Amino acid sequence: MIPSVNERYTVSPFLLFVIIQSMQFGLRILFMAIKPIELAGQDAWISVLLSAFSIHLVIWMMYRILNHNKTDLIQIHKLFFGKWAGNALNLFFILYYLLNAAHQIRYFIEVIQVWVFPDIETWILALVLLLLVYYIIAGGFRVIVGICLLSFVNTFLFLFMLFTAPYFHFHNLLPILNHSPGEILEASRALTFSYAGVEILFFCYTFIKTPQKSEKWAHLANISITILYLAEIIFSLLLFKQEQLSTEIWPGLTKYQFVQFPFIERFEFIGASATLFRLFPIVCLCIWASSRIMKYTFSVKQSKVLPFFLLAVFVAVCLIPNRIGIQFVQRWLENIGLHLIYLYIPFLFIFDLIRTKARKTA
Amino acid sequence: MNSMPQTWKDFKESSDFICSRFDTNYEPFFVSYLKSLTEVQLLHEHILPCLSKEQPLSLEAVYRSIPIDDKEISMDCNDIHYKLLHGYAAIQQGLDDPKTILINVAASKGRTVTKPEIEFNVEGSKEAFVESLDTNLHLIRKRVITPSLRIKEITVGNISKSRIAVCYIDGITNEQYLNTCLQRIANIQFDTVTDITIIQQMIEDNSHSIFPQLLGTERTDRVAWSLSLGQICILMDGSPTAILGPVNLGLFFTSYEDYFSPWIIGSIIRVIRIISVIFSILASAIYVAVLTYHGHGISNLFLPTIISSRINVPFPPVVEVLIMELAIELLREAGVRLPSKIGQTIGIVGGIVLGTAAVQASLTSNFLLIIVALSAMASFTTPVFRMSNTIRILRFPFIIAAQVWGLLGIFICIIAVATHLLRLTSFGMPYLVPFYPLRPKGMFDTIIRPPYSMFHSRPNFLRTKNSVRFDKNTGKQNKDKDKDIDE
Repeated sequence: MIPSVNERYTVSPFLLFVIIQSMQFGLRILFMAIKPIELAGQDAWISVLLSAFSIHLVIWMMYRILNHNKTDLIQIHKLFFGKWAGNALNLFFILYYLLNAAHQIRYFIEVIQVWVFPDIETWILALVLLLLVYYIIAGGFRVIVGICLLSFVNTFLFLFMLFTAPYFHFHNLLPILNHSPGEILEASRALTFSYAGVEILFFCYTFIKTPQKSEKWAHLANISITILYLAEIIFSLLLFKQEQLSTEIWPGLTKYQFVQFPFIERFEFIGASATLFRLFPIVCLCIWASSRIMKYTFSVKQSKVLPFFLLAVFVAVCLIPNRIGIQFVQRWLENIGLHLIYLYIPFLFIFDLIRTKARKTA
Repeated sequence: MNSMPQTWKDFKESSDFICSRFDTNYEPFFVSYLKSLTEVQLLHEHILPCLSKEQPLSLEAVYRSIPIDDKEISMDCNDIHYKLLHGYAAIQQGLDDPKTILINVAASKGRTVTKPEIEFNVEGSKEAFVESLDTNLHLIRKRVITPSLRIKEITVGNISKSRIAVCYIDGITNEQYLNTCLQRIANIQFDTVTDITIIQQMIEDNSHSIFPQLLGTERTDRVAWSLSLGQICILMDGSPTAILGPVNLGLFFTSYEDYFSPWIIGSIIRVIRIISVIFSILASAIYVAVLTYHGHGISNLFLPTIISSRINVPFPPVVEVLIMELAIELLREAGVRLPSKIGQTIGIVGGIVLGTAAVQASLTSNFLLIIVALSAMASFTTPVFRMSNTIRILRFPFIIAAQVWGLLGIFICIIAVATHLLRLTSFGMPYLVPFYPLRPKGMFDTIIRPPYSMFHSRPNFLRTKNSVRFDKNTGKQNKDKDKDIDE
């Protein structure tokens, strides 16, 4: 019953670092600083650490479940809850990932429409992006991970933030701890969306060459993301007044305006276009995961299902009309992500424990 | 001539087919050969005397008395035809006896070994492959002096019957790659194969890709080096090119001359080459993107230069770029098709006269002319001819994408090309190895060319059976051992 993956299609454990990092990173870095700072002010960095810690715990739980059952979540669902309920849960994940992909693409198009090409039509850009996504996914998991690795290079663009150093206001960081624990926790909650994405581990687990040994890479990915988020939050605090920040939409891009070269006047259009490299891994992984779930839930060919899923995402992208629509979808995804990570995964973990206990006694 | 053995009924019509009859007091002998393929003098001096003896002779006795080693007795009609078509002489006794002596008296008429013309180098050997397979194998054998060098010959093509030789070193080359290679060559269904580049296209993993997945070279030293690394070399009779596989993308940007210079210089040149390739692909596309969409992105210091050079040009940037790129391609194509002396003249007339005139006539800007000329030059730094063609062609989608969506279009193009490269394989080996899948140990001879003390093992992505080239520890002892500062 357990689908084993041919070794030719597996990837080295350390690539899990890239997978999880690109899944969490996405386009969220552009706006992730606003809400936590709004809620917890200069203490937002504490929230980042809190979230990071809780995600480490979640990764640990995921590995306990996966290592124990030695298969991916698709089969675990069927194993735990039977065929019907398991398939229903799988269907939910398909929808979640498709919605996630649609949201990411629409968000990217929004960024492009605002920063680079105001007149570009949503559907034409979406069409080109999705055709490319098809080409990538048709190459299989290894190609997707290769694209993740390529996009990892984009992280170095982050170093350009150092150009902002002359404009830092260090007194923005003080006073420390003048927000209540409630506010800090609330900010942590808002940050969950930026950390969501680790659940891809459930689906790519069988594609790792030695999955048991890959745990440290998942944790390292989370650490690296935490460092990036901390830097982003602290840079935002140092550069913007809090009231100023609330009027910003993408502080991540605004910061590129500080970057100057002798021959490039405005760096932000490079920065905005380069978010493309962040978009592809996450969209490809999402659609790949949903098509794979489809394959094992309803036993259809992945290559047959893929065009339909891409079409669905395309329609969804075109149907999200404007910024309000994007934020509506985003709130939905935030809620789903929050419950997925802090309720569903611990629930699975406990369920697994009880199940094995019950089996031992029986 | 009117009576000859049945075997030759297909050959009778050809004027270069000779079947001469030698009467003895027993059954007559028939000596048949193709005049155009054989060394007739050899035949007359050594073989015919064996037949013209007075006493009755059997075929076996003749066979023993022929003073040439490459001879056999065959009864298989197809084999006899095949051998005759390769310059063998056939001796039969009587009209009906199927037994035939086959003697190799093939004439080797071909070019002598000359200097490499495509992969020219300043230092190092000046020896290139020629059209004759036997000469080429001889050149390889002379460089790879080991009994474990294996040569497998396969015949391809119903009409051309081209001889293909697959060379590898037993005990080093991975058998999986070898089997893939042999099987693909055996599967070729085609009537005439005239050049190895045709074979190359037929056995490549993805024949629809513009990227070459096997490396063609005419340098014997490069082949010897690659064989010793565990790669497979394929040669064909009639083609002065050897193809090597499996290869990765990095190999196309390494010139064999890198190995002749000191490692620091070799590495710097290699890095320059890689940068120039990237420049060649992106430069004109970025020009189009910036001038069409991102003009505000250029610094005030830089803008006047571009504006003043473009002020009288009536075309939009993309048309300007396409005209110039096509002009360069035209010059190149014209230069290649003409004899080298005229080719140079074309280069001068086209490059200098046309270029200057185009700028003065405000058809193009100075600035663009510099970019296009530089990127054309940069595309020729690629040591492998096929790859430089690929890079020239690759520029155009980037230019068009830049026209459509500016920098975003270029980025989309980069991802598309990256995906394509990620999907490519060469005899089943990933094309982007050692960068993806990441093989840190295999990276030592990719972007830089390290010193020879580091070449102690073969690249691990070739999955060789024996990865040790020399012992790491004893290999270092040739330096003076007790040398210290100031002693």
